[in-house]
Amino acid sequence: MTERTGKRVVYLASAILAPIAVLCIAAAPLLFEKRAGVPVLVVGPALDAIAGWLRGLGDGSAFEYRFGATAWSFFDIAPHFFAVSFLYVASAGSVGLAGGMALGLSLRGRAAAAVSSFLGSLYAIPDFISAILLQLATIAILDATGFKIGRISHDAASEAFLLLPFLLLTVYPLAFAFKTTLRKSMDAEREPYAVFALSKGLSKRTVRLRHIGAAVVPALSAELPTLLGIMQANLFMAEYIFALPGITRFLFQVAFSGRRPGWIEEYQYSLAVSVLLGVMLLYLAAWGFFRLALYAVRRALTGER
Amino acid sequence: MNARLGLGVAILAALIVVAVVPWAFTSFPEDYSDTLRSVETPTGTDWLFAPEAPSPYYPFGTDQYGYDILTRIVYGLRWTLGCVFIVAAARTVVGGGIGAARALAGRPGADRGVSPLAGIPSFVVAFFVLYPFSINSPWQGWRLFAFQCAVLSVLDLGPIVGATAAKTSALLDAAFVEAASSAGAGRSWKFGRHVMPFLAEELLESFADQTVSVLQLVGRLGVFMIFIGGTVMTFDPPILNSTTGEIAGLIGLYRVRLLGARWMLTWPLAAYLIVLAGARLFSSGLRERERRRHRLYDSR
Repeated sequence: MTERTGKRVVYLASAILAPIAVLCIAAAPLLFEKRAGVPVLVVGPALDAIAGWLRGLGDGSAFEYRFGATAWSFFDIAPHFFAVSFLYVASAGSVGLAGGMALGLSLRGRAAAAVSSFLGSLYAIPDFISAILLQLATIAILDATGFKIGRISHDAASEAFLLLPFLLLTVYPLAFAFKTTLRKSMDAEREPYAVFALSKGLSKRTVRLRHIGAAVVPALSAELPTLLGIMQANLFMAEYIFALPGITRFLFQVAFSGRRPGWIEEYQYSLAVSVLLGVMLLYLAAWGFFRLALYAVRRALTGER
Repeated sequence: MNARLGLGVAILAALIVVAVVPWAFTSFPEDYSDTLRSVETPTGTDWLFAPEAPSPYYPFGTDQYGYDILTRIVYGLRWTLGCVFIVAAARTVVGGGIGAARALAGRPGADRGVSPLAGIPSFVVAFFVLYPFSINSPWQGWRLFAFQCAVLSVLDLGPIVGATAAKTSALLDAAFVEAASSAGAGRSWKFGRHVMPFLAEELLESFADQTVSVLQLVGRLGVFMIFIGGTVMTFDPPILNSTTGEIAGLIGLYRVRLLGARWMLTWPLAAYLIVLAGARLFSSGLRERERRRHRLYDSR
């Protein structure tokens, strides 16, 4: 088996196993029951839930959920939530990647070290802490000056797109792209093709864009799964803390309605499965989007047809 | 010892002292709460209701149930540090062991590219597993803590396994190990005498990195009301509380206090940032020490 075929087999296996893994993860809250004050492992309810969900694929009940006393279809509501989540990931990721690439290609020496140190510090702060600090800073500035940077959370009166979660989601790809671009471009600068291009009289700017920039894009593309993994976690925190109407918040808002009496009985397995599958779909959609975007950037930089 | 490592060790050592003898840093017992107290003033008796703003009596103020924030933080710190160190150590040992075993078996693994499951963050998986246990759990305290640590330990092992396998493979291919092989050294000798001394450094760095990672994971779970040591939930009125006062959990608990009684959020936040700074400095200091050693070896 060639390496390429082997990789395809791995991709196919992960594509088949991932939904099965989702069915199992969503069943985890059903695996234990309290009996006489002691948690006891019970496999029956989890297996029943999985079997029920698979049966529900036939009549569509696998994608129904209850909110209050009303039954809803996941597909009626999901596209809007999915679109909001994708909007944040795509816009913040694009700005972050573009900014990180531009800074990484253009800065050298002390300026690069200063920006690297600054972005490294931001990157080191956990996302939920950054979100809370952004909210605190917004309130502090509003109290001190009367100037409102942005809304600290989404409500019925606000637009779906808020500045603070966008800033939060931009920071991590920006820092990640800057670090990757700087490392890769410093390596590429020593490559014979870059030295040769300079010796031929091309300007530094042209070489950085057309030769080194083009060399950086595949490195960023290879790091995309890692970056998107980080961004998905950031998205969960941003949507929950800023109360955004996205797909990830939907999970905690409806599938786990944990602040009402009888919370565990209210756990909605089928909705949890639907949302987790939606989250995976979001990840794949974002991956496809950024792969295409990076491909287009490379073509534009090199002038390839 | 470089400055970063020294500062990181100093911060973590100071925090460990606070965690070990919390009563030395507060004048109230662990579960102390007082929702209403009287103060004698020249004009008569004043009645103060919880939450109280920071004052000489309560330096960090109290929450809405009358819990002294300083007392909660100093007693909660042991749970935070305990969880972070235990989980980081378990991940390092288990992940490092699996990684080394894979490399020794000649299967260090390869990059698997994009996988749809990578779209589900590990803290979401932890949330699903811990949810039925952590809220109003019959296992409050140490038993629940041990279970939570066990669950958190098996998450995110992939990077440690991969890094250790790669490092072990590289060491096994190094010239000095080849020389040992040609001199007749067996696999266990090579691993114990030639690979392990270098791998130990790698694992120590990995442990330091994991302390930061676990701190982040615990904080994320806290935002979703899954607290280390357990969550108490009452239905009438609906109230959620942390049984241990673990500081990352306190941030999640008091997160809604942005607009009023902000001290309830800012002090746990400050405490968390100090723990994070200690762990970060320790981690980057170790890496810096390793870099300097390599420079020294290279120059020789």
